[in-house]
Amino acid sequence: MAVLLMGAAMFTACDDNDNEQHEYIVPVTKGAFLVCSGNMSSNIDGSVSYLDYTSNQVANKQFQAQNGRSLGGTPNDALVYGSKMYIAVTGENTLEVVDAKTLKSLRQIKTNVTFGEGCLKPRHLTASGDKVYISFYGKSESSYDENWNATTKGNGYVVAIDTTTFTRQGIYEAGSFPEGISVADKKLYVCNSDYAACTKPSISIIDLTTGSGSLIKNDNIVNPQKIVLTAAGDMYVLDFGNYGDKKSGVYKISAKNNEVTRLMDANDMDCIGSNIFGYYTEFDASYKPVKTTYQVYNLLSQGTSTFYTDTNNEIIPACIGVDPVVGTVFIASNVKNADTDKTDYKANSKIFMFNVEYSQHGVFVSASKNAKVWGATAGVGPCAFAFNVTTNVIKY
Amino acid sequence: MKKFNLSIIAMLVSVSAMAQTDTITSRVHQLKEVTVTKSQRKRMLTSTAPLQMMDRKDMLTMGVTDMADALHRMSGVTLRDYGGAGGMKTVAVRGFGAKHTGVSYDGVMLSDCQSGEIDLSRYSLDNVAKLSLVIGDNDDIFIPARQAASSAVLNIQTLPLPSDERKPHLTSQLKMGSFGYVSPYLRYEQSFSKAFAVSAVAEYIYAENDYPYEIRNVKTVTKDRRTNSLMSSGHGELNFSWQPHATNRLTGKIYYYDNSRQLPGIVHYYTNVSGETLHDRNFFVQAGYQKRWGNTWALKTIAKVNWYESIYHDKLMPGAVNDASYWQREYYASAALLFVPTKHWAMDYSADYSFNNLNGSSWRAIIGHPFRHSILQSVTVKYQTGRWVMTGKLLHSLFINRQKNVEQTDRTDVQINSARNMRRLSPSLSLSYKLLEDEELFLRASYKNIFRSPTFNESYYYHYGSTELNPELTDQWNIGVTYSPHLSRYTTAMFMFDSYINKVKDMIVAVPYNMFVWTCINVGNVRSIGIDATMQVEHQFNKAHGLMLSGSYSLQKVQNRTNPESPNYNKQIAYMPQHTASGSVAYENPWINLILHATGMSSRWPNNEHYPSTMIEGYVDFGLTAYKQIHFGNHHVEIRGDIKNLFNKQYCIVAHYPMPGRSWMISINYKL
Repeated sequence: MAVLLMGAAMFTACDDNDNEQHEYIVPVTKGAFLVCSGNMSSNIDGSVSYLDYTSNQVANKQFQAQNGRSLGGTPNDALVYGSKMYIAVTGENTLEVVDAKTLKSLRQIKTNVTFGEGCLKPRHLTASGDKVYISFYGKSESSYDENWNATTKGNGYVVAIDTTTFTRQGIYEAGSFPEGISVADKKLYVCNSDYAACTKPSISIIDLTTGSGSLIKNDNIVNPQKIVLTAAGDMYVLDFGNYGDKKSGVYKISAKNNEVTRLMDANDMDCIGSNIFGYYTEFDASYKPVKTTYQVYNLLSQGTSTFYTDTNNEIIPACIGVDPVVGTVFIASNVKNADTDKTDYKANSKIFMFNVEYSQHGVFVSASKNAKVWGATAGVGPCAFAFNVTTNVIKY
Repeated sequence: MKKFNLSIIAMLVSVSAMAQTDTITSRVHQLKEVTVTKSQRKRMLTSTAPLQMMDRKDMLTMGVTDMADALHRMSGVTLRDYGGAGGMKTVAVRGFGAKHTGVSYDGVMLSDCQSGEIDLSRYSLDNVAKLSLVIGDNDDIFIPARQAASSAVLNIQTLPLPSDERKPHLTSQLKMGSFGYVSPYLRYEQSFSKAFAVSAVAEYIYAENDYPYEIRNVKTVTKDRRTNSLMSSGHGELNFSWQPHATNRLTGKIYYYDNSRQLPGIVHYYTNVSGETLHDRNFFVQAGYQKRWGNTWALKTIAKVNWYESIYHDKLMPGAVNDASYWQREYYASAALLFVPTKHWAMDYSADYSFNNLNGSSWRAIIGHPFRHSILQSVTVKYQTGRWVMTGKLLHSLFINRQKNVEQTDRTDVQINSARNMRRLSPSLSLSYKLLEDEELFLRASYKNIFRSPTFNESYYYHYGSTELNPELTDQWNIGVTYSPHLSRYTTAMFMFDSYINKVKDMIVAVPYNMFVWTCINVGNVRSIGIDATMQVEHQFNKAHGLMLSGSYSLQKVQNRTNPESPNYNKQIAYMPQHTASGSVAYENPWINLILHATGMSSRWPNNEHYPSTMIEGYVDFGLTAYKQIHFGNHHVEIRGDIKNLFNKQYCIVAHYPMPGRSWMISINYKL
């Protein structure tokens, strides 16, 4: 989610040196991690599934296979940054740092012990420079007036940590129930979801240099979950809505005047270059899924195109991930319970993959099913993708 | 022993005299001390539907340590226990969920209109005279209609009042145990005249519950202690009985319960931070009046007013968004009329009315004020001749559901409708036949059809509730044999063996529409096929030495029968063990009485899908009890020591809720 839409088109970098020898450092994705939250009440621990691009095989429960211990209850997000992967485990109040190649544990950080006692329930991750940022729901702090009337502050936090020492570099107060975060231009952007209460949702913008913050509030931003930024500072926000009349969708918040525009219906989003991918499931009056539409919004053309419509509800999408290098689109899907005919949150999930074709300028052109990874079995409760991006050095 | 027998006689004569039909024939009045135990046994043997009873003496000689342990000793029972003194405990019988089990307290059904489940951790055994479990409807027909409205009923009967002499009686007890457990108990009782008696009970439990546990984490083991687990609970009761004449009697009870506890919550591998607290308060007043006219007519009326408050707080949840308080009220009245025209026939008509309502503090929970009028009527006929006993019952239930004070709001997700009204007719039949003229060998068979209506949570809870729900329907068939052979003057034995088929239709299950919105619907069928076996054997070597054996075993195949196409079809339902067993050996002697006892169950799945590697292992939990009773003059002292979980077995009944390991408990009881 740290991908800047317009700024960083491709990851390639080149480095000249004096010996007439040139080298290209080319980012390569080796595979995709899928973080699965498990199901605590069914005694199913959270896990990491890994799709290896070479073999097109999914290996499940990779964290525990490598470490002889489990992630525990309800991991929520993961981020590959440099050679490491960071996993935020909400239910355990831990941040697991592992080697992205081997998944061997490098450090388990008990967030409320190491970062401060308010750092409870880690939620989402982002990175910038030499720091990784983690959002926390935090804990309740009540104060009482002279009549013993309680005022309960419900602010969450974002903590910045050093990527080598894992020590706390900064702690920032966010709003109510922070979820997705992003850092751009030395500013931290936080989606304050308000736990779907719709009373005080907001977007926090915190200046990382001065620590000062401001809030964006808007009637359409009721349950923000994810945020990405353009170089110009425009915000693209996924908002889950209120599970009632306000539907889940992607909004643009203009940097200039904070004007909010709805771009498309979406239950989740991820992006690459100028493309925001999402999907949306329509339900009928009895909450039966009618169809799911897979769409992409392009920032340059400002148009939405549908690349797949699932009327059979083969896919019950849980989350979306876009490979930041080659731009393939992954959907993790839940399955139906044969008894209730509804989504089964305590069953293995499936991964679906679309190969995507982009124009020279990185604009979405078309998407096609990847038959090899269509319905591959993954872990229980999929919630976030992370991509195993490494670099190849090409000399010439 | 003498003390117990005396009190049980008193109880049978005074309480049950009106409660059971065969007392009409005034058999009870001829009871002698020696026959008391026999009479309880006889009730179990001749019951037309499975009946298990446990009086104080049984509990002592079986080494029963608390309510949860008592329930573990009964066959057909699956207890759900979240661990420790403060952990919620609910009871499911023969594959039916806990919401199908009714619990009565001194003859009046307890209710929880919000959750539909009674938390039995609230009731300690110190003030209990007898526990009994009836599965289906048996030949005890002179009961309120509501007692017949569940598939099984657990009756908690508290200590009776004295009636034969005027002196004040005082019982004091102090219990102490591991993990900061202290519980003083005080009871005062006195008969002021031949007709009027009063008792007052106060008990308090303080428990830290910070027991150590181990939980397996792949190849490692996490060791920690429960935190945020303190409990401070008190209970007070005032009872009176006024019996101006052998044929009529007024009883009353004022009850107050207050439990302020921290909830340690689910166990995680790497964190034990929890800030949840729950404060329960329950107050009720109940009165009963019974009158009998000759040996032909008897009337029993009951009235009760109940108030229940539950305050939940999570100090770690930002903005205190999960905090919620709930208030329930109940007004209940019941009348039962018994008519015994001949010695063969008995008939009962019972009519119950109750009003239940609920309100809550949180818009994320219960928004309006739902309420329910319940009108239950039953007609029961019992025919008894020679070796036959037959009963048939027809229960008519009418539920009128409404809600008021629903906030005017634009929200489309607020439940503004009322749950469906319901009207149903539920039949039951049961019979018992004495197979041989001079052997205590009985064959019994019973059928019962009953339902449970949706709870207020299932109907109205924010997002989760649905007002479109239909009741959950159940059928149960039972066939069994009971036998008490004449072995010798010194050896008595009793065996009960029952097999059953139970069915549940239209189960109320919460299903997701998305990860955040779950709603109850009627889906799913369950079939249980099982066996319950119970035995009790006593042998007296001589005047001073005796051996008592008791055991129970249950086989339950509780299977998902929803969809034959489903991979889950015929799989064992979550949290239902296939095998459950318990046993105890007591050695009574002049020095110190010793009991070794055990309860256990086979493995269970925490989900209906049997997701690989989630199985919860089976266990056996042993306990050792030693007690000594000393009498000097009017003073009676009982000293008891228990080692619970003798072999320090680490196990869970509910996934991620480990149970305590080895622990001790001592109690000193003094009676005057």
